[in-house]
Amino acid sequence: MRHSFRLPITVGIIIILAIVVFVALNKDKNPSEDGTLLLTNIPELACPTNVRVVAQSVTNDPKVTVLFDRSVAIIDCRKIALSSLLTPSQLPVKLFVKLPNSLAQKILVDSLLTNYTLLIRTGDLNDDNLINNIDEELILSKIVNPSSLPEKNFDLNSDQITNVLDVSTVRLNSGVGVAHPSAIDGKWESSDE
Amino acid sequence: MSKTFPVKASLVIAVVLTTILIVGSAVLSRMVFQADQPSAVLALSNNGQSVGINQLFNVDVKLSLLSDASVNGAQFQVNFDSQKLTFVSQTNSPAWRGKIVSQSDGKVGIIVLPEAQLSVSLGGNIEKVLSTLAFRSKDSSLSNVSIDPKSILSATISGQPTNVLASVQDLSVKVTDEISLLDSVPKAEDSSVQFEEVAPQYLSQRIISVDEFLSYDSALIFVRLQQPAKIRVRYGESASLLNTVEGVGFETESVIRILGMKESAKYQYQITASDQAISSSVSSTVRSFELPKRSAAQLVERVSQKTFPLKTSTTSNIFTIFYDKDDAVIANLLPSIKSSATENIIDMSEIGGIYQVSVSPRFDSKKVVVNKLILGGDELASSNFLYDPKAEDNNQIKTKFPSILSGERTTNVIVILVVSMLLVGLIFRKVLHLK
Repeated sequence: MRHSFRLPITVGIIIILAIVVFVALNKDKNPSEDGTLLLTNIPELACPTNVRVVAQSVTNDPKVTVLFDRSVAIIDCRKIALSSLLTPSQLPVKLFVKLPNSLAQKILVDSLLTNYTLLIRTGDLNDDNLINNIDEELILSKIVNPSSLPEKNFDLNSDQITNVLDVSTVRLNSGVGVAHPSAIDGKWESSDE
Repeated sequence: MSKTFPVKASLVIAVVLTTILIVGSAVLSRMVFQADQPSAVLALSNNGQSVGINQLFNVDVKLSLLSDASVNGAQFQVNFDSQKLTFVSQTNSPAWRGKIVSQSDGKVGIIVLPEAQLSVSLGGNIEKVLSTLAFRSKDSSLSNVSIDPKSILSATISGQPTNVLASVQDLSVKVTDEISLLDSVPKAEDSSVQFEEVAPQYLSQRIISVDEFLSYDSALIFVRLQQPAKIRVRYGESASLLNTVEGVGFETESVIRILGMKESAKYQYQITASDQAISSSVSSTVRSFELPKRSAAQLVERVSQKTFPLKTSTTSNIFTIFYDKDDAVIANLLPSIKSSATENIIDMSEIGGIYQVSVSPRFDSKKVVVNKLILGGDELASSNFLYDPKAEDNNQIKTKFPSILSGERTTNVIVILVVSMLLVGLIFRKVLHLK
């Protein structure tokens, strides 16, 4: 009788042990925290603290409703907490995100518990929401004559020097950002806040 | 027994296999498979030709890639003896666009970018001429033409431009009056010319960068190396470089402090990195700086900051110099740093006008640490560095093959796995001896 219980107990211990190890290893892979918007492709050393976010409601109404247009704090240089930005009643919503020196990007958010990822393209030095040869020439001018254009930060990768790596950042990220949802000409002027 | 044992044994084996699969999958999910980072060499070549006096000759800047890479630009400075050579012009190679970004006595800085594409994918073990520089010889002698070790070769790694330059190779140009004065510049892409390369003496070592931070009577020299080595700085007011300062250990990133110098004086210096046996060494070109004056006032006009290293697994140092409107260095201030690593305000210490503080974060994960410079209650500047607890220790000699497992957590996982397997084995043995 004693022996007949030993095997199930052994099997049970092994399964429990395996589950404990599995859970321990994967503990931080399934965070139960609220959803975030993760900003990726930002240069490794860069640490932006604020980002401009425009929220636009998604409805069948032909009138476009912009819920807000404001500066939002970035957590740990890379994350935006969705719960501090939106309420469940506002969902689904289109978020337009614009970092300084970067193209504006757009993402559809339909849950405050989901983690979303947004690829950031850095290199818009003249703030025209385009990364093109004009930005490249600007940065080359800065390298050739460091005392020129002092009012702008051309060190896109935050390594404390403006060089060919910053030129490469501009070249790799060349493209067009999304238009501002409420501006008539689609331009990203200063915040309406 | 013949009836019960196979059933029990097969059940136990199934459980053990399941356990191995569960634990194994968890461990595999923790493994970090690191791709080899491409590395490149920038070399100078004049096709092995001797040069006559007052003759134009070409020097090719050649890129040697040791593995596949997507190259999107290069920035290099070529140094030469202006008493013996004159820089004449720069010629672009096909598909590359070059631009002279700086030119001064004995130095020419050039940026080279792919002509049309964003980047050029190049295979490993190839050589590519990036640019051709034309010089004119002045005098019969041996003259060195070198590439500054701070040069950059930009390649795309994980979507970001990264400097993959591993080493640079210099060139000795022999100028002799025995050669007929052919005032012609050979074509850079002339395939009939056979290259006669000289093998580098110390390919694995390279001085990646040298930076200076200057006060009125002292200087900090920041040196980054490819491999750990002992740093020696020879310096002096004359070219004989009579004074020497040595680093304390064998490191890849070193800060050498030189004290007791003269205000507003010009100094020359040379960095030498030696391996542990002092059997081989790499030296930089002779560089120079001029010390600033000491300010009589206490009115800060601007601030210069240097964070070293920019990426650390332990401690990073923040150095600061305050200047007045005449760019003279201000001493006897009481600045402090408010760091996101501690959230406390840390007072900076001062040595000869250079203020410094060490920041040692204690985060569990990789984070950018933001440090705000505070003086008299005002935030004057901020700087940041990347804290990565899993980053490779800068002062450890790299193993030939990096481990595919990385991080402290993985070590714990392996311990748990081994203990679990031992426990399972013991239970398994016990069960098999049940009857």
